[in-house]
Amino acid sequence: MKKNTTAQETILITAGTVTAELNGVNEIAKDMTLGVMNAKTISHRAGESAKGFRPITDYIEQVARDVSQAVVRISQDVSVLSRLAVSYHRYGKILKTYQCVQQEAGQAEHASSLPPVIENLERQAKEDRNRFLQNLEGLIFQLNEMKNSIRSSKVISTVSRVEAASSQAFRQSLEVVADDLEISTEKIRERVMRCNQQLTTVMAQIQREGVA
Amino acid sequence: MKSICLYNEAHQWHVFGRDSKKVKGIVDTNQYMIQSGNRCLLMDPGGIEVFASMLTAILHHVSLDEITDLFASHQDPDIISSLGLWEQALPHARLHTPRIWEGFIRHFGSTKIKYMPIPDEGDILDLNGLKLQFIPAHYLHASGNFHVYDAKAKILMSGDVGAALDHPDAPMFVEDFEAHINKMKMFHQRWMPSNRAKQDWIKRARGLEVEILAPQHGSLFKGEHVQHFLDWFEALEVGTAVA
Ligand SMILES: [Fe+2]
Ligand SMILES: [Fe+2]
Repeated sequence: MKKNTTAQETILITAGTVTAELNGVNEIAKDMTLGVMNAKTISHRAGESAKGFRPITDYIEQVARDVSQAVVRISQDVSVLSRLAVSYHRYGKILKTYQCVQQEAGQAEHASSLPPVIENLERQAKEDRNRFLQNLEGLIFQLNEMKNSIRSSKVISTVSRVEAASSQAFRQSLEVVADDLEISTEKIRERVMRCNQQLTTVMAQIQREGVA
Repeated sequence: MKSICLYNEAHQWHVFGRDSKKVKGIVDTNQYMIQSGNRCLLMDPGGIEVFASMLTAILHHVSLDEITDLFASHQDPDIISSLGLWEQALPHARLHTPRIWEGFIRHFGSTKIKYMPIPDEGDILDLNGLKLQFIPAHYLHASGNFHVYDAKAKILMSGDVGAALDHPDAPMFVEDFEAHINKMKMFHQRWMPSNRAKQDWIKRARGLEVEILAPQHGSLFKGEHVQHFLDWFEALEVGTAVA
């Protein structure tokens, strides 16, 4: 990021990146749903020997659904965040313009009519900043939740492997299911981490900058 | 930004322009203000880029609560893109603007200022007892367009009519009319779309007693140069981009 980019500008860029990452997450969730349908067919064919595998496919299905729903919610919050960033950016710029005028118009006969306007703008900028930070915190929290919810997938894929081992005929196919689950959740985790990292950076920048 | 008092009797006219701090590449503009007691009308207050200089200049004359009315002759950015900035200081102000442009002008980021749509046939604004006329100048060049006439001061603020694309330190008043033609000919031929609209305006303008014709760009016309301009404009073929 350029050194002189303001937090408001950074968040507009970040919002775009986060949206792209979330779209990627959604695609992975879709693939998981397709994969699980396949796994269900295999475990059905495997009959009794793959009975223990069914709760696992149900679980994967649930994870994919939860991830998709979370992506929808988080994406909405990201677009709210972008709107807040635009407003925050706008008031910050207006405030700066008025502060310049105050410096320039120092000697003017009616310069005393400026301070109330500037105080008002400062209040507005502060309110915008707080709203913006609140939204950002909420977003980071939701991303963390998502990361936690897929953490148990690691355990589940290990269980899958144990179950796969007990089904001699379909062992290989069921192991593929376990592998896919592990790969998918790892990819999601990576993307979510990247989102989180970017948003945390913006948050730190805003806190460093203080009011616009 | 330079400021000159054009009229100083019971009420005052000021012109602001020739902004030395103006960003390179943007058209130079004249902004006007009428002060009538404790009420002021700011006319074609200008673009975002001149806002800071303009506000600074104004604070030498009036306080912010005295600016009660704004006027935008039309919707162009050089006329009124500063609106979103002005309204932070003037949330109490009213904006008089052609009826058809309200929804467009709102794109300049204003939510608080009260819109006072001017009907197509024009209107009268009472500014602390001073009667100002909004004179129709549609299609000159915008499809909804007004000028402001002050019968007492005999000043007609004529927006883009009479405008010249001149260098930023051009004189405030036209000195040599013949030499000035070069600076305004292309502008009028290219920006003004309709000969019919032009004739309609000429008729209206000739019906007014005008001592100063005050355009939004370039030098102002005073005395005999007002008639020179009307004669020249009347004879000029406009809308020339279409063969
Ligand atoms: Fe214009
Ligand atoms: Fe103009």
